[in-house]
Amino acid sequence: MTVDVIMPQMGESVAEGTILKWLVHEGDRVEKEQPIVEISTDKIDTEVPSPVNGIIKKILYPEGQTLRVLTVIAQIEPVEAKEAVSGIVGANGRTPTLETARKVETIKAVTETAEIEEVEKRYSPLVRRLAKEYNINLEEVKGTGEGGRVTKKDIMDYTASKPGISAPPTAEAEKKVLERETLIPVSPKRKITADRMVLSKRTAAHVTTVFEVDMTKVVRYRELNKDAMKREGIHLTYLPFITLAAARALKEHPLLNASWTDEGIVQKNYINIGIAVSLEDGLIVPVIKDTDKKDLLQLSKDIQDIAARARNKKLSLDDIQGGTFTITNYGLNGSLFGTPVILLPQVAILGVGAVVKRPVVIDDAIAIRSMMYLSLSFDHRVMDGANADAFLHKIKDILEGWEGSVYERKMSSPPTGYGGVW
Amino acid sequence: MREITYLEAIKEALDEEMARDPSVFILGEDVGVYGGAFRVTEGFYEKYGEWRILDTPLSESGFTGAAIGAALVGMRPVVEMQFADFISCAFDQLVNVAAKNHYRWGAATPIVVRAPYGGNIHGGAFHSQSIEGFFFNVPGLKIVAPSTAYDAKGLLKAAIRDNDPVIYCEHKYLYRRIKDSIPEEDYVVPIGKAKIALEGKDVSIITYGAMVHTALEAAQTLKENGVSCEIIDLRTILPLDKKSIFTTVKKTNKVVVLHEQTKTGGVGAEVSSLITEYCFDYLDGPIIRIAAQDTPVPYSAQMEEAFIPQVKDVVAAVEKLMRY
Amino acid sequence: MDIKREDLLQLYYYLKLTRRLEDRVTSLYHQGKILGGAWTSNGTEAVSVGYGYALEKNDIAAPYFRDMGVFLIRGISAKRIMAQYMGKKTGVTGGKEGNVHIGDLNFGVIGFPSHLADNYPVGTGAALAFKIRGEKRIAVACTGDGGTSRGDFHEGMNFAAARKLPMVFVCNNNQYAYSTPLRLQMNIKDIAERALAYGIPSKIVDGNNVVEVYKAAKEAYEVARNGGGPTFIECKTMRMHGHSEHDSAKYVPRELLEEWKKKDPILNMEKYLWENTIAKKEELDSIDLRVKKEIEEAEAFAEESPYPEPEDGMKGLYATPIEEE
Repeated sequence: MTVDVIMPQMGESVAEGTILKWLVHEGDRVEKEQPIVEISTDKIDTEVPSPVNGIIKKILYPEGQTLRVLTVIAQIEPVEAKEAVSGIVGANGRTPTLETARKVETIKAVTETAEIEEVEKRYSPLVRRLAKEYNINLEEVKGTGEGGRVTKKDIMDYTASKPGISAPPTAEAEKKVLERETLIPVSPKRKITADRMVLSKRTAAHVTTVFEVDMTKVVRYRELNKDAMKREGIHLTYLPFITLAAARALKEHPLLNASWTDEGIVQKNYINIGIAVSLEDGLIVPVIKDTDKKDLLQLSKDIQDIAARARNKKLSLDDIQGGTFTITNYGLNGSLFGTPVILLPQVAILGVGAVVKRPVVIDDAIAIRSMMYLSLSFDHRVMDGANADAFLHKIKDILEGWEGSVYERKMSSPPTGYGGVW
Repeated sequence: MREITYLEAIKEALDEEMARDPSVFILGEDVGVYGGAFRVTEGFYEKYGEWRILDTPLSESGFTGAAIGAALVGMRPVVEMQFADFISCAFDQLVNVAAKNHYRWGAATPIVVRAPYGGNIHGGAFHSQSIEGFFFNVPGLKIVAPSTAYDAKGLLKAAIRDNDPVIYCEHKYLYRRIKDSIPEEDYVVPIGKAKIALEGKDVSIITYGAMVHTALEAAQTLKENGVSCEIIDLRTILPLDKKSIFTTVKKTNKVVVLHEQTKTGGVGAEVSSLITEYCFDYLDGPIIRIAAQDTPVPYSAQMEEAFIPQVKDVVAAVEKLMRY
Repeated sequence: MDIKREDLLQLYYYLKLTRRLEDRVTSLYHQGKILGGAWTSNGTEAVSVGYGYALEKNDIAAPYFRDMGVFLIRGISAKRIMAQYMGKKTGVTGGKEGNVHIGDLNFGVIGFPSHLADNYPVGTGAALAFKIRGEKRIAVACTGDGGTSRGDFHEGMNFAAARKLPMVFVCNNNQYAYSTPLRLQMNIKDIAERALAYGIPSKIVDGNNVVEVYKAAKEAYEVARNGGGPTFIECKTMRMHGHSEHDSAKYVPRELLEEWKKKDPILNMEKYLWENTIAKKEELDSIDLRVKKEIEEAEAFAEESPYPEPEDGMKGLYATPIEEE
């Protein structure tokens, strides 16, 4: 009795998903939980694990196909786990003992001084990969290596001689080159982002208010502590400080931690701050749960962790759901301030600009300080400028008054050890 | 910048670290009054006195254990094995105490064990061994093997400042035979980072220690025959710099691993396995290891020459691989 | 040497605490709540309590696996030790090590491997550091009768003697190394003779008399502290349980055990305190109660503590981790 693999429903409003890459072939043996296909949906690329131990009976749709959720995309013939362990199974379900034997021959032939005889066509892993990428029939390629072997150079020469073969297509579809225009097809993620941006701007009454913050104390604190934190594996940036300040400010100004609904303004009694991460194919906003309950050390670790997992495409659905407030750090790119777009159904978003040394006036004298602009876009349906400004002022106060007391910990310094306390 | 030999580089590193940090001290056989069997610590006894440059009894296990104990209470000892071959007497202390202290009970053990190793000096079986293999499989240790005077000084400083037990393999044959320009200011060569000794595009030779110079000579000959070799000097054996290894394989697609250690179960076997496991689709030929023959080190010159990998062995292997 | 009354009572307290903790460990081991192995110092507690209590706060101890008394005296709590036995995250080593493999430099205790007498050179090294730095601190290392056959025992003592280091070497001669009796372990009558070979003065004490061990240790520490070099203390005692708690020790003649049972170190101390009217029975009883409570709390703490995560096993290999890009 076959088991179906379906296109999963990833996210509240998702209706479709796109198959990015099959990780198995028909006939492959798979184990329960083993990833079998990569899919792309609403703001998250993820893998679908096999529901059972078994053999892939049929793959129903090719890569690139977009389907409604709950569509059956593959079928698996279940097999008892015990049976699955019988000898070595190669990528195509065949036991590659023949291949292995040939390879052993190859190695022996090279390391011993005997001459290599003409053997039937063998292709190295590199050559096979290049042939696949360039879509070449290896039978047609003349081999100039030992015993008539096809080498990398032979492949490159072949592609140069045949004009029809071009560089392998990149992940983001080919570009059709017309005379003065280039058409770039839109990925599912891009389309979804586009729709959301427009919806947000149309729905929420966007206003942006800007504050200037003196980050000098934070800068100094970071300088003093970054080496110690590096020993713990943390690269300390300004973002954890700002996140911590925002979480504290949200506690005092809960109106910014809310949603506009037809019934009324829903204030959330938990604070989950999302941190926008920029990837090649678009933005993703992983969320730190219960941000207000974490200290600077924990926030640094969390931010570092979710950024890394976002880049490695290892975020789970839970990681990107449940946000109540968002921070976007465009200061990384050098931007001083911007007017960020609110991420519905939230009511505010904090834009963080670059930290730049500037001359400022303090007590009627000029001093050089590290300055930063914070831009808060807020939904004017839910609150007025006074609320937003009070919130932003609180963040400013926390950052400008930063002292060392938040983070107190004895780091292990050799060689006295620290007695098993990890 | 000035030019110094490999041995002078080691000496300078020790001298500068001892002057900079009072917790650094040296112990070993004949290191004090005699100045060390190879004269590495000549003059130190007069400069630092008998309690910072200690002449120990003939007990490698005893004084390595003592180094560990001193390290646990705040010192940074540098143990000198008179010849790397004698490090086996301290195997238990290194493997079961030093390597495991931090993992087991959180105590850093910042010792450095200097091991003068390598052949080509007519030393026979007990004065010519390469010993990195004995400890390669012991998690918790670090092993480094510089090939130039610049790296010798920088790596020794890094090893002394590192908080883990480091086995520092210094090649005896290179002591007085190679020189390098080194800067005046303090510098450190980071542990765990390989170096590109020569850039090339046709074949990668991954190697370390004195064999780097053998590879460079072979590369010269090969260049005249139109083969461009890239030579990776590992510098650190444990932990291996996987990133550098994979980068060069992806670049040239053909690999030769070269070391003076004996072949079976040597570092080259691990490098080779890593490459097949993680760079399989980038290989345009099998990975060839060139290493010492699987015997103890023979004494007679003709036999020793056949034992240690020579320039002609490297050239022959690369040419065969290029023809594949 | 006059010993203060409080100190005598403390010695008694630690004897009882050690005994009770290890008795509980034995029981839990037989119930399968402690896995792997359990090695106790039953019958020889006076050795570790004696030499442990004589140490100053800044001294360093390099004990071996029958030195539970030393861990407790130096300040490693019964809670942490119990949790360690149960493999919990709150144990002394966070689950990385089991049973008696304890070390914590915050309390001046050097962790040891299972290889006997490796701690002799390591302890010597600590003493070497003190001498180099001119500090008035000493180090002490202890091993069993079996440990004195290993090379490191000799290399450590030789080095300490040659350099006249502030070191004291203790031997817990409990007459059996696993199943090997003394007569198969060595050809000499007293292990103390070995120290003479290195020019180290030695002392033989009754290992079941905690006051005698304490006094000998205190004297030896003063000699070391004042630059007099190392001393060797042989404590003659008897191992009352098997080598470990899964060893029934049938190879030990019953009469030998019966004879030594009468000289139990705790009984000895009780007698000493009564006969010299140093303590009343109520005081000793209240100490007993205190010990019981402490160990009960330790057991409860250990039971409630969480296990470490499997991933924790990958952590802590290096003190200076190499950054991987």
